[in-house]
Parts: sequence; structure tokens; C-alpha cells
Amino acid sequence: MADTSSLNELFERDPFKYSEQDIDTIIARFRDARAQFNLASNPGRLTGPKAKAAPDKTVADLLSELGM
Amino acid sequence: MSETPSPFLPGTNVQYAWDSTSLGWYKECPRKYQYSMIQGYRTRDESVHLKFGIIYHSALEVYDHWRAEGQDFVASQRAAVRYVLEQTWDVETGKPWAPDHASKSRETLVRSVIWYLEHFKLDPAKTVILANGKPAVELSFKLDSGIPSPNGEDYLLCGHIDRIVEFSGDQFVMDRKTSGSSLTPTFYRQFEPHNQMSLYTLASQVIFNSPTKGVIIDAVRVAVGFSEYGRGPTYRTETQLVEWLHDTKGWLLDAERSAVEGYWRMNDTSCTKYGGCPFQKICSKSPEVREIFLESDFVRNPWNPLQVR
Repeated sequence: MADTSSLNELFERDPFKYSEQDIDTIIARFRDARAQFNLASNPGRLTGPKAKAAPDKTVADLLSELGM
Repeated sequence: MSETPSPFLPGTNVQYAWDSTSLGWYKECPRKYQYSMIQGYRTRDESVHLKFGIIYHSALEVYDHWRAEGQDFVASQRAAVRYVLEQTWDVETGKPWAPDHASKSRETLVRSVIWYLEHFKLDPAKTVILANGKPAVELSFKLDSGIPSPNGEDYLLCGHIDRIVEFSGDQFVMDRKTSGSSLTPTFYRQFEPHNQMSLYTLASQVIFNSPTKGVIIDAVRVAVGFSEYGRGPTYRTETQLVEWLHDTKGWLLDAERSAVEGYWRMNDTSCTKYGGCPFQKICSKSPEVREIFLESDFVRNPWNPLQVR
């Protein structure tokens, strides 16, 4: 979730005195929290497409093992 | 600023200006309408939901306005977030809004607005530009119903349209909804038929003279740790709208009779519907003690359909 320490500090301050950077910090924190939430909800996205593993054996190896 | 006029005819309880909220109360149960609209009672929880919903809507309207005026995403998002933070700050006490509610807080409100704008950054629904060149956002409307009230003038149908959009070549009203429950197909089915969605489609067609197909429900589920978003359309045909208006006439005349009699009957088959009526615990008591419990358990927060947001 959002970085609560800095967010709490910002949330306790008078918003009428916020700088543009303060607002951007808040937005960035929640944007990060959203990204984390999306990743947690869709863990597949963490790894991306899996590389196809190299086959341990070829069909010829198997046929050979089976004596065929 | 001028004061908002009363929605009631002078010196009476006859409501001449109706929105979907007050009409919905009456349709559900005339007694619920009495407590909510005539007397203006709200639960404390309801006040939290109301404030949360209004600020959420208004912040996204701020964003829509900025975008329609040519501002970029970053500046418009910044304006919307600043709006939320300022609206949830008590200038007198110098403290932030801190409702006693699990999922509806200042933080979840800011989060819901930021996440919405991130989610719909590349929004396929485009805001319609009106003939006067202005974007079709936050449109408060008053519509002559064609149904005469006791003072000879027509009852007014009012409301507040969040946005009119073009989506896949058709025109829709877009209505934002906040929910505490999952956005499943069951959630969207509640809007078909639905008082507000029929009124808003009608208003969009009549007032803005546009061939509106229906309403896109633009929903957010606000949970403690996350906000999720979804959209679903609900369509209305011309004959469905004519039928809705015909039925509305019956409801308004019924409400007029209740107001003249000074008695709003109880519909005791509605108490447990719609998530449970907040006044059930009042109606379950003997009539002579109800006012005492209303005063102690509820807050007064009158609803005015003529209030322009």
C-alpha cells in the first residue's frame, strides 16, 4: 500500500498550503500502491511469459530408451 | 450566491421539484420519504456516504473540466486531487475529515480518485461538447414534467448529470456510482429498470436534444485496501421512457395526496429490501415514541433537489 509515514505527515498538513510537489508526492504514492495492488492481484504479471524450457530428451532418445 | 429555493410549494408539504432520490424514497415507502425528505433525517453513516459520494463526483468533474479545456492529464489530475484534499479539510479546526467508517475515509477517497484517473487514463468514452462549446459535464437540469401541480404550474423533474459521452458511436449519460460491494453482473442488473437511469436518459434527450441511448454506470467499489472500477450500460427505448413518465405522474399525484392529508403511509413490505431501511428500527416502535428515537439516533440534513452542485 501507500508509503504511510510520509503520507500521514502530508495528510495532517493544511492542504491549502500544499505545493505542487506535495500533490505530486501524494499522487506518486497512490500510483505506486496501485501498481503493487495490481501485481498482487495478477501475480502472473510478475514473471511475464515463461521461457520455454529446453526439452530434456528428444523423441529419438525416448524411442531409443524404449528399444524401438 | 443566491439561496436555493425550497422544493416545496410555499406553506405546504407538497413537493413540486422532484429528483430521482426523493422520488425513489417515495416509491420505496411513503413513510421513508416523510422521514428523509419532509423531515430531513439521515443516519450518521448515510451522511458519510453522501459526503464521500459528492466529493468523489465533484473531483472527477474538476478533472473533466480541466481536460475539456485543453489541460493535460497531469495538471488535470493534480487539480482533482487538490480539490479532494481541500474539501476534506476543516478550515476552522485545522483538522482533516475523519469519518468513523471502515472503508470510507479521506485516504480511500483520495485513492479512489487517483486510481480512477489512472484506470481510465485512455478513456474510450469521450465527453460530448455542447452546442455552446462547453463540455457536457456536471449538468444540473430542471425539466417540466407536463404534470400540473396544485399551484397550476407543472411539477419539475430535476437532477444532476455527471457527464454525457460518446461511446462506440452512440451517446450516453455517464453516471458515477460508489459501492461497497463487488461489481458483478448482479450489481449492474439493479439499474434495469431504475428510476434515476430512466429520468436521466429522458432528461438528456429532452433538455440537450440528443439521441441518448441510455446510461453507462461508471462504478467504483471502495474497499479498505483497494478501489476497483467497472462500467456497464443500461439502455432505454422511447416507449420505456413514455411508460416511466406515465408512472411518475401516478406517483406524484399520490405524493400530493399524502402531503395534503399530512399522512405518509408505511410500506411494510419494503423494510428489509434495498439493503434494509435505516428507519426500520423507528417504524418498529410505537407511534408515540418514534419522534424521540428519530431525534436521538439520526441527524438532520435536509435534501433539496434544486441544489445546483
